[in-house]
Amino acid sequence: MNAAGRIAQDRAGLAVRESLAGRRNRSVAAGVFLGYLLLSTVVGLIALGVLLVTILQDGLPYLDAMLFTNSPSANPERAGARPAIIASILVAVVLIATALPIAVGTAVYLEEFAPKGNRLIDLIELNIQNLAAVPSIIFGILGLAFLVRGLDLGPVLLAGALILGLQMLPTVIIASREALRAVPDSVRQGGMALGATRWQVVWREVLPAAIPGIATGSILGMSRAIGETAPLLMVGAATFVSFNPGLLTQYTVLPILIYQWIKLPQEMFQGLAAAAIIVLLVILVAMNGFAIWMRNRYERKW
Amino acid sequence: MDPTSDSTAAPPVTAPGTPSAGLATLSVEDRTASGSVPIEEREVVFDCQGVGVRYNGKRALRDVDLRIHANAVTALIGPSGCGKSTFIRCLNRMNDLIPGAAVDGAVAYHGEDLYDPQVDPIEVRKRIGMVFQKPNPFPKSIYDNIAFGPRVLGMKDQLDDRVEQALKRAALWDEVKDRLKEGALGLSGGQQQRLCIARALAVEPDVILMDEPCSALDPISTSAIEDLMLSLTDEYTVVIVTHNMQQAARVADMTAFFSVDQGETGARCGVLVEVDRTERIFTNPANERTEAYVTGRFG
Amino acid sequence: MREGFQEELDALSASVLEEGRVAAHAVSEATRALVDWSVDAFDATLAAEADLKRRYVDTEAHVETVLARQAPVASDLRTVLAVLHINRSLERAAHNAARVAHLATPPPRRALVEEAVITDALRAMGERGAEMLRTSVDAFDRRDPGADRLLAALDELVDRENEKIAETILSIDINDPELRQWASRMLFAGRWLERVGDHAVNVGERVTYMVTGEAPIVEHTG
Repeated sequence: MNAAGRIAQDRAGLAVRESLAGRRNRSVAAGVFLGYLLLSTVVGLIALGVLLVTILQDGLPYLDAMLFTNSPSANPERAGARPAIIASILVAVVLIATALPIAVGTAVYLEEFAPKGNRLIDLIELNIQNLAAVPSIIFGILGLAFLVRGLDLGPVLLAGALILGLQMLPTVIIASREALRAVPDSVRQGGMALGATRWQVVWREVLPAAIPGIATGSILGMSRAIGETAPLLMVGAATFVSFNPGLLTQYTVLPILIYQWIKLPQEMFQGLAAAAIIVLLVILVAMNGFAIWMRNRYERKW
Repeated sequence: MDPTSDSTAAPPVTAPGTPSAGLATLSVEDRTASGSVPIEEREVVFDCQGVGVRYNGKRALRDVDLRIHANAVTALIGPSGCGKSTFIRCLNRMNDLIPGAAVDGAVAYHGEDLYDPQVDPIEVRKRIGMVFQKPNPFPKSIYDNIAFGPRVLGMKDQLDDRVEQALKRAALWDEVKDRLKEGALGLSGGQQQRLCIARALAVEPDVILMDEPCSALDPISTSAIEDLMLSLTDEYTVVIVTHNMQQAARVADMTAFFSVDQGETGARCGVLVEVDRTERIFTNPANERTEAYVTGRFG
Repeated sequence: MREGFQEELDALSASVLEEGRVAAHAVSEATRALVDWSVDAFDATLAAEADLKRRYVDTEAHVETVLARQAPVASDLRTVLAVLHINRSLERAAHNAARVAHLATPPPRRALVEEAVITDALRAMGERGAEMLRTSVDAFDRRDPGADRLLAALDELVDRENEKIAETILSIDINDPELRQWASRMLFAGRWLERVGDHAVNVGERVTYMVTGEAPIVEHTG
């Protein structure tokens, strides 16, 4: 390279250096914003950490076999949470048997079969969206009026579970529709182009492909329902149940038992409540964890 | 210095009854055999008269008069929005699936009106297979992808044979025979597209429609698909929409050029400008608009 | 659209026009060398032939590049193919001109009627041949679809002059060896000049093909 060429090269290098340096001003603003975001996250994490530490400190000494085997008792030395744990499991079973198929069916209909631009369908969709925003206590009132009194079921587990299922419906429907919508149209077209009916395409291709997403949404919806308290108070979940509950008996569930124990004056019950919270937390974290694992395991890149 | 000396070479010697070389691609004898009947005299598979399509009342394509002959590749070329993809979807009633789409005019398939109320679109799509722009294998195993069509159509006897035959026909067998149970999404793009072709072949169609089948593929995969198209013409009628004019020039026997017209209201609408033998379209097209398009001078 | 490609096609067309001018010049000079025994014209003919040979090689390389990079179709393809053929024909025409120039010899008897008839016919053929070459590339430039017929008609005149030479040679005194030797050289000169006309006809046919796309071409040898 001759001298002139070298000078030209240096000049071009300098221009590039200057133009690259110009970007630093913007990166300062970006840094400030990043700091703000980090701070926000740390605040949330600290709150969660404090809560967890407190609960663990209070509850761990009471987390023993008796908590799982014994019934609630006025004597804190012998009190356990067995009926509540069983009831919570039963509620989950009822949710899987009732709310889940209805929600998935609704989602499949709306996403795959419902005529687009139909007013009735639009109305239904709007209502599902609204239903997701209704406060849970309202569902409780509905359950009380319609199931407990209207159908005269009485304050039994089934009534409570059904109302939780109703409350869970919009969440699962919306999640399932998202999962169905994530299956590309090319899969449907490919199937239809082979002479399959719409039903065959949905049943054999679209639904299987959407199952991981549907399952994730369902588990998240169910874990919310398991942790729910307010509507169950409305439909008459008893606070003191010392027998193993059935579908048509009185019942209590973990959150209500926790609520009950905390209200009691003896200090030992505070510890028991903390222990029950740990149990509930473990169940919920396990369910959420499973949902996240499912999502990552079956997530598809189209 | 005689420029004519080479043109008087003896015609190629073809020995009748010579066994073919057994290659995946068609042997010379086969090509010349199918080429012995001029394409215009072969059976008419689709006879389209005044075919048009509207989407929600808005006209997207009008007045297409086109004959598609058997055992040949017919390419539909033209600029974006010329209605070529819209047209190919008229041929297997895929437009039925688009809300607001309405087809007018007449499409006769082997002489039968494809849009007769008595005709079941499901049956139509069984006989007239389709391959799409982006490979769209189902998210399941290679085997299950091919078996999907026969299963939903109740052709469940000798399923293994059907799968093997379809994969062989699509020149994919050797590459996947040891991993039929593996997921189809793990195949390369070109393999996925050949899988989609095999999937269409598995239901024993008569026609294969391909809507820009190579637009998402690299050149090597593209030439594999092109070889496949040529080899398919011994049994099937192939119709292909392509953006790639060179591809049409390479594979098609007949080429139809679609373009966009400004209607009286100023609305843009697709029309068929010219259809002719491919060599004619690419050496001496009759229509100026075709000339402008194939030479790349289209505005 | 495709402006770069259009520029390349224009450049190819321009080189054909230039080659036509050089080839016509070579034929004119060769004719002058043949019938006027001009040494300058002889040198000019060989210079023109060498010039055209270089242009021929360059044009062919350019055509190769355009085919490889632009993959022309339809009228573009026909234009490029026509350029390829015309390029060859013009180069051959100039080569024939050089052969003609090499045959230049003064007639031994100088005053003979037959000598004058032959010389005049050769002059007419040469001038006509140069004119045909100019006409053919002009038709190329104008994209004249009737170029083939136009040049075939002109070629008739050249052929007629050539026949006149052959007939005249038959009537000369075969006992005059010098005259006989000169006549046979002139017979060859007439043959090469006649070929020049054929090359011009080939150009005309290529022009017609290029413009119309109609393929029936009867190649004239030469």
